[in-house]
Amino acid sequence: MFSKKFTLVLAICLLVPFGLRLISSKLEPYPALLFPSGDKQVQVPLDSPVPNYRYSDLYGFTPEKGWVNIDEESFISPIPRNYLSFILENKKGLFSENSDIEVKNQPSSKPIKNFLMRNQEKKLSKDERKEIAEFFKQKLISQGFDSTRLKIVEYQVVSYPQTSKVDLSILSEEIINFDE
Amino acid sequence: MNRLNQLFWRRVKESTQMPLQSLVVLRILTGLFFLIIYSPFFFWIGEVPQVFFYPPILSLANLFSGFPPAYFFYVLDILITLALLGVTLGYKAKFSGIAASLLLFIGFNWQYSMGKIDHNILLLTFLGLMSFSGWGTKAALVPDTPEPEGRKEKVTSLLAVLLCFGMFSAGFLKAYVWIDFDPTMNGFLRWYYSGLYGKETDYFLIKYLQELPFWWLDIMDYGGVVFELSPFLFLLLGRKSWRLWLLGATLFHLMNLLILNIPFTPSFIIYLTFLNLKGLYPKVEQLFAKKTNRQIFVGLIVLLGINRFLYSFSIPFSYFEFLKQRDVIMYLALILWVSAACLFARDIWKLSFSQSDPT
Repeated sequence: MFSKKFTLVLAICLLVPFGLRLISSKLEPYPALLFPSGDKQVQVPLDSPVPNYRYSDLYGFTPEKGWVNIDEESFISPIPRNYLSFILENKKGLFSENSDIEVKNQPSSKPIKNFLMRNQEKKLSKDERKEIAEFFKQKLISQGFDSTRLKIVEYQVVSYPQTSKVDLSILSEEIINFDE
Repeated sequence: MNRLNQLFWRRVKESTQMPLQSLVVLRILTGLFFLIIYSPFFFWIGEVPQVFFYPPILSLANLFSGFPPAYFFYVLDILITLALLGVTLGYKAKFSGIAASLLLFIGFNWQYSMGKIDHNILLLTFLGLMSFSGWGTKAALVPDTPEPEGRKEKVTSLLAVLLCFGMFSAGFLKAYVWIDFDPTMNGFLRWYYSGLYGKETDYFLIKYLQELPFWWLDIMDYGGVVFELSPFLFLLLGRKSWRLWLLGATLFHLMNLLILNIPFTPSFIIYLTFLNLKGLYPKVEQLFAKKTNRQIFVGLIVLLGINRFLYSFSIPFSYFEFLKQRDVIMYLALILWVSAACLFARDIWKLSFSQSDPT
């Protein structure tokens, strides 16, 4: 079958990416033979209600109905819907003019790190903001919403013991104005 | 050390070796799986604003500063379709399989440059790896030259080891965090909430989990970890125990589908590698032996390829419009996992009562 040398090389090829992901999920290479880990936990409501999960929802505005839940699949289309939360998380300055993402490229120091991180730490230009605003405005229009406004609501799920009953409380609301 | 290495691979080989006829049937099923059920497309990436470009730091895509132009993805989709047709029809299946695997790697590298990596990598590796098994040497339009003696055993052994390692990579961190003997914290429940609220999915049994007593949650956590860390052990224990683990894997995916609504269909065809499909070989052989049968089969497969073209170019009447609906994905996954569980159970039953190994 396989030689000792082959087994050793195989082990290195498998274990190095695995080790990198153990250090940080951001260091997970692609391609690498890794399966999803998903090791995070939440609190269990054993004998009293507990706040144990947070998620965000998007709302569009219509003059007749006010704020209405957006169909996220069409909103982010053609990108798969499960990428939406990652896009919003990774591109925190996507909707904000005063983005806290700064250009960290300093040519004189750590050139390799700067090169590897240049796509992740890139500050959005005015044109790019315009492009993204236009992309989402079209999506809002296609669902019959006012194209100038989008609301992001972060919810807290409060779970109760031994029942499917949950309470939702609003943690934060942010209205994005695309025409500003 | 050398002895230990030989012993390890010998045990793996004994657990995983399959007859060539079974792998030939698997080649056709793999082609159909990619052409119908799990058919990746990349043309849509051409429409994604460059602002969304956020590749993994350590990836080929990070050598670039943005997505390639739209035509790149159209060409990619066309080449993938041709390669998949080659695999299914056995037109230089080895070359076609390797090409399909590499092209899919390229496409997914760009798809995963939006801040998220989906972990279907073993499916692409499977396609490339199995191309060296000799699965294109029979029941093929242009058969491959036979592989050297022992090559297919090497291929199936390596695939099994990669599958076991993939499972280990998923279970290792979970074991560290989830095995905490603390009933107030739970990992399975987080997967459940992300399905219910994050993905807003409500198929099958997802609504009823919270009505179960909470000690069930700990069973899910510990059971999941044991299952994901155990395949190497089952693989080394022998042929029957490896099939038992695979049966467990199909039930694990079925449970994930029913309770968490995670379909994870890519694993289906990988598990099928270790199911003896030799019984279907005479039918597959007939498809290629008679001219009329061959013409009808080629015609149908080419139609599937044309269907992929239609979808790539957003021309109506492609069945992918139907297959990509969430309801269809869920119920198709249900059919696949129930079928896989039944097939593995039947295989183990046969293995238990037959005097000799069916391979």
